[in-house]
Amino acid sequence: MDKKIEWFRLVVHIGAWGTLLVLILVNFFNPNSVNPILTFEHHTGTAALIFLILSLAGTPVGSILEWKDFAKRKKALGVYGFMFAAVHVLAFLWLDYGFQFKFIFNVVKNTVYIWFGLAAFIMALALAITSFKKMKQLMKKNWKRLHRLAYVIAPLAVIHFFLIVKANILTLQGNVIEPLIYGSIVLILLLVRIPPIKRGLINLRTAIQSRTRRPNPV
Amino acid sequence: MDKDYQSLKIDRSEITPKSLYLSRRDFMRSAALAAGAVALAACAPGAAKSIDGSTAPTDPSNAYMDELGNPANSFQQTTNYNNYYEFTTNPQGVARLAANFPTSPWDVNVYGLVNNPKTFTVDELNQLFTPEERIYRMRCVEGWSLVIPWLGFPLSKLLEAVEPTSEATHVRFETVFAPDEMPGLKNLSYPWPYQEGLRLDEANNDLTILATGMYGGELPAQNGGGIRLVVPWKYGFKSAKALVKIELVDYQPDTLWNAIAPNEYGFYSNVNPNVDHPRWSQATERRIGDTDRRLTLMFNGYEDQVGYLYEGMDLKENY
Repeated sequence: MDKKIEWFRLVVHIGAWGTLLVLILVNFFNPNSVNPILTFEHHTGTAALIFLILSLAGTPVGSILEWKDFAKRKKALGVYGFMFAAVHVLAFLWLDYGFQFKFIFNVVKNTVYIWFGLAAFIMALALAITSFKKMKQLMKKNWKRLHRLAYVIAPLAVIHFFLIVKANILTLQGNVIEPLIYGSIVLILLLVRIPPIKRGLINLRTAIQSRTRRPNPV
Repeated sequence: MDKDYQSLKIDRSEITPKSLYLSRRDFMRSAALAAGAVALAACAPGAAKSIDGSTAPTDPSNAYMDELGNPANSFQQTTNYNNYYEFTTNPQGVARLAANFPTSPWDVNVYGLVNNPKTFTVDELNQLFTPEERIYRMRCVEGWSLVIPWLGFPLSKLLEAVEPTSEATHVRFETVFAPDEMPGLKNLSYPWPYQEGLRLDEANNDLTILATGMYGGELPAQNGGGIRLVVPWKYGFKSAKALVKIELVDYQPDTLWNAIAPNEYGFYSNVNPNVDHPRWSQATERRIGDTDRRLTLMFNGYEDQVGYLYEGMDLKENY
């Protein structure tokens, strides 16, 4: 059992650092990467959203699908989501705008999608800072309250994505498929937390499990 | 390699405003300040060099320069970063998907409010209107730009040949609809085929060309071959690719992006650093291959040639 847990833990850590390494190599050490700064910004943003979604999936996957090893890694997955978000923000401030705050201020002021991304990032920063065990002990009940912000961060990140693509969100015309996929997953992960839905899905799982057991009772 | 990189930088420093220009030394210093990002600090400055360095010494395209002294982008850059949603929304994926797209022979039908409607082959057009070299800046609405040496002829020459009637006020352009060869067309989130439009006086401006080649050779499929429109003072999406229909009309034509999001992509879509896109800023841009951003120029730097077209117009209203 212990070995199995270590195995999934390894997948999470290698997956996260490996992804970061691959994104750097693919964008900055690849002669076919023509617009590396913009592409790296897009890639790290997507990676942040994916890790955030995996982190959000931890609790329902643990309770509904009974994959406890996955649930145990939700904190690590969330911290990696923040890591990619931080690299994403750093790429914007440094690689893209060379820390020239005169321009950065103007861009942030005039760019609607950045408002949503920035709000998500500030909340994620609060969660990352308080992600240590000691903080959890210190904050007691408030820790859980604060970390429910993840339910706000994920929709904000999806809106951020929707507003970047050349599309019309209301009529679903244009480049909507990718943000729509992430948006649907986030929506599902939030819906399965609603107690009656969650209970229904757990009952469904136990029903399926008992049916598959019936022909061959232990 | 270093020598070419240096000469590129001198050109750049002359035309990039000082306030936006960040010297290599400053870049390295800010890199060092970003102590948290050790991995990025190690790779980013080198990456910029490898892009300039790997293409500059051997690529003959660097002999091209626009009238402002900007060196043209390399053929490799221009052919590997394309917004061409008929193939894919990933600009780095178009070249591969367009590799087998047939661009010759190519027919384009010129019709509508004209006295001499005709379907031309691109070979015919190249014989009738000898293509000339035009080195233009291309500014994408997404905030990046390229300098491209096109081969083409003024659209006005073709219009002269077909004789628009006195009722004609606008030109409508339509891109090929070939779903078997263009996988992006299977995405039904767009009102295909791609359409664009110009006012007749914009179409007749000498800067407006139909391009049938670039870098002294053929026009690759991913860049709009067989034949494309190039309107250098407007955002790139106005320069429709792979034209099959050119229609003279007496109304302002629908355009694909305007149909999707009318409050974001206006009919005119002139490059204008003072009018931001509703969702993002247009004040600066990054030339492909550059490390630093540069200020975006009014009408993409072609104000002297095209400013008269918009005299007395509120460019905030007519975005």
